[in-house]
Amino acid sequence: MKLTVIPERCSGCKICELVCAFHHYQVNNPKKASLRVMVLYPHPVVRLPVVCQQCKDPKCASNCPVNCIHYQDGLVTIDQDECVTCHNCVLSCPFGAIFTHDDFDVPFKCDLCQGDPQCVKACPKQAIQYVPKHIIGQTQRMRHVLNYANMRQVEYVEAGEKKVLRYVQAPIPNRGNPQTGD
Amino acid sequence: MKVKGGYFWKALFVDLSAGQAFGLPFDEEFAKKYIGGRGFNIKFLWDNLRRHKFKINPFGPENVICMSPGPLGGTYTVAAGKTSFATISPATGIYGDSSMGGVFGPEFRQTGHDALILSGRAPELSYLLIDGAKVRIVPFPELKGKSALEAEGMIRQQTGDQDLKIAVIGPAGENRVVFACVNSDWSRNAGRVGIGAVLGSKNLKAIAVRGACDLPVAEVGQLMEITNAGFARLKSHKLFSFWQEQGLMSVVDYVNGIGVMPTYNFKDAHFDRADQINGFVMEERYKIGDTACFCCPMSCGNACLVKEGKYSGAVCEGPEYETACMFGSNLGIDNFAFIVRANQLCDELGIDTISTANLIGVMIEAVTSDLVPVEEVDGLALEWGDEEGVITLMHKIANREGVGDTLAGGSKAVIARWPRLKPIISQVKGLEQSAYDARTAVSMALAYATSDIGAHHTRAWTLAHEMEQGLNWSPEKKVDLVMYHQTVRPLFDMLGVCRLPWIELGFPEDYYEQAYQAVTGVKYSLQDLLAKSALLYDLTRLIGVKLGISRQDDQPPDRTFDQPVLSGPQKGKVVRREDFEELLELYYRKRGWDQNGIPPQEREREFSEPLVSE
Amino acid sequence: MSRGKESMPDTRRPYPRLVTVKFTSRLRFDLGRDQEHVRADSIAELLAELEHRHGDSFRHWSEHYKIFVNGSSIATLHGSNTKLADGDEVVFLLPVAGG
Repeated sequence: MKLTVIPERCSGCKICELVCAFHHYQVNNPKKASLRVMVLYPHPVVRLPVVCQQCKDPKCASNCPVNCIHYQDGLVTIDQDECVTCHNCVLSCPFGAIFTHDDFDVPFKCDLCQGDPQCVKACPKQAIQYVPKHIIGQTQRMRHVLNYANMRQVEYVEAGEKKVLRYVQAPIPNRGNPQTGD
Repeated sequence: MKVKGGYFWKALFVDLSAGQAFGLPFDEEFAKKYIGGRGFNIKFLWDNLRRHKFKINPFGPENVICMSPGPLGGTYTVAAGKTSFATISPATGIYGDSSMGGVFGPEFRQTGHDALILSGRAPELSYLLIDGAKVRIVPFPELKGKSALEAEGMIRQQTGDQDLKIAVIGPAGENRVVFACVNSDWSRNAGRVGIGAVLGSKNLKAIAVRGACDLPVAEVGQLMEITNAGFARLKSHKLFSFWQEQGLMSVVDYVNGIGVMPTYNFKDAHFDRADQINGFVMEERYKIGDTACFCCPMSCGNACLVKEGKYSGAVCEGPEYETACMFGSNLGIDNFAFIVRANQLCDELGIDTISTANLIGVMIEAVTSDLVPVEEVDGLALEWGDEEGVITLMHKIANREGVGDTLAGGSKAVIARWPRLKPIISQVKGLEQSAYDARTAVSMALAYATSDIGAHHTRAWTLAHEMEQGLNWSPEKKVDLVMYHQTVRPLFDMLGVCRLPWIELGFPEDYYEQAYQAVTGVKYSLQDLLAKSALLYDLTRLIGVKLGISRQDDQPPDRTFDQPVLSGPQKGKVVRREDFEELLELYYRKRGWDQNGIPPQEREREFSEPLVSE
Repeated sequence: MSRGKESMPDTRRPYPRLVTVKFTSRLRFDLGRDQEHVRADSIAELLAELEHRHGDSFRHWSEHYKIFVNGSSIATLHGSNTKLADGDEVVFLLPVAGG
């Protein structure tokens, strides 16, 4: 299972941050959440929840001088007792998905809520999803296929309901030379 | 009853002249009486007015700007992203407030303060940096003339902190345009009454905050529970997904459908080309994403981008209904791409979209009907639908050039220069009317006339209710409706939440009673809370009266009486003066004010205890 | 988008009134049209006819829409008993309202 985000859907409301902090620390404080919604504007317009990818070969772990970050069963964990609070992991995470707060000595990160991520349940836009690994990429593949060539669509009404049928125009027009792009 | 949460028990007072900042403690009694948000702001303003014997120049260092997000602001409450600003308005000369959504208020709360009071004047252009408990006034003259977004970027760069949340004014605020706004989070504005101009007069370009405190919540678990139930309830509403898609832009169809959409400077109330500027056009051709305020699932913000044509590249968060109507039908414009550009330009310059477009509409009408010669508007041959002319005027207003200098003084300055324009300006007490026509529903005329800040719908928006059910109601029932709105809607501003879930998707009011209890641990019924809100309406009235407001100012815009609707479903409608006067009379009686709209002397005593004695 | 007068199927009464029905907002989107002409003597008859024509896509919003006849809400007239006259304009609105 993997926690994935769909930035196009995110509205930047921070409900995920609120429920995350509440679930782990029982406080109303989005700054104690193990994910952060980044909002950029106006060039480019992006809203993207940054969350740990639970990498199998985590940079945070390989840069930890005391080896207190471990990957096991799809989860990267920081050993609180072993941590020397050097914050190397915060600096080395390519996503910036390890967080700090003045109230805590040790950096903290997403623990997937024991397999039941609260942010996924709370997101009003379904912008954060927890899906089996083989599902990831399916949407992209499908979109790629649909964009391919000369997709047409036709609208029709069936039993009072509007429907869309997609088809590829045949024969496919000249796609050009793949090497020269002509 | 002990207050167990909801407050940090201190307001932050900043004296910009002296360069000092200190915490101003308040006690339980104060918190229970004024709740927060708008309530705190009004009380701080009142104390300041008394200190100066009610002699305050809005642009003088003695004027204060109060800002407070309210006890629910920043908590896990439905739509808890609202922050109220209040000051003595340079546009009206009386009490004025405006609120903004976004994430600025919640971030401010996390610095460990409940309110901010700005007084004095900084010696040079500066910004206020509130980093948790550390407060600094940072001189930064290079910010001069910068747009809101540019200034935000410069401050982030100077401090090296990308996470700062910044409320900032544009060049119009520096130039004291009396309807300059405060901008934050790209397009969230406290737009009305000229808060930005007062900030500009204090040489304060921006307020930058970063906070990380836990918010004091008495029963966190309970709050989660009721809010999750609230979210579920909102999501189950059939119109919820439609609302996410279009937000306030869906209002265009509704308002034009019932014939109350201001058109051609409020002369007409029906726009035949409204389907060029409605929510569907926005959604299908311009929308690139949903945006939401703090902790709100409704995401009514629509990020829009113009992808082709003359305005290609224009991008803004919004526009929402007011902007689309005021820059659209009210100026005779049916080009949505232009509306996106105008909205972006307003954000950049830091001017209120409603007042700007209202006054530009007045000028177009004045020129086209020969009330003002073209030479007096810098040779601009303005016409309905004249996009270029509108954009030129916007720049002139923000920079106070030529005729823009007069317009920048608001409707009062326009009337002072051209008294003959008074009948065609839609304003109350110096504040320009917002985008709902009041000629069909007399309660809406009363709402505009008795709103404590001027012709804005924020206090009472009774239009739909009366048109859908109450056109033949008794005057008493209509007055009750206005008064109920004027009581419940300010309550949202006091608590620090948004009213849209309630008014748009029928979210129940008693949720807020439960949320208030979960956050503060104090059990107040909705009625108790409403009583506190009602009390404040007397206080804003007292402020108005002390500053010279009386019955003659409680009049809707002239067009409400004099100009019958030209077309559409409400063709020919106009409010009869005697109907309105009857309602006004009744309204005063129900409020316990006298014939001239003056509250009784003894009400003042309710508020005489100042927070700090000097 | 509107259906012409000639395609009017309703012949239940000798001379039912011909009214113009306008759909706004989401309703217009769902029905795929912004107006049509209907023969009906009262709001109740009009609703029955529209349900007959559009089925579920019309019924879906039935508890939500507000109906205005010539600019007046039917709640301020006689509800579903409101009588219609030739040339009346009936507007269907969804109460996402503003303010």
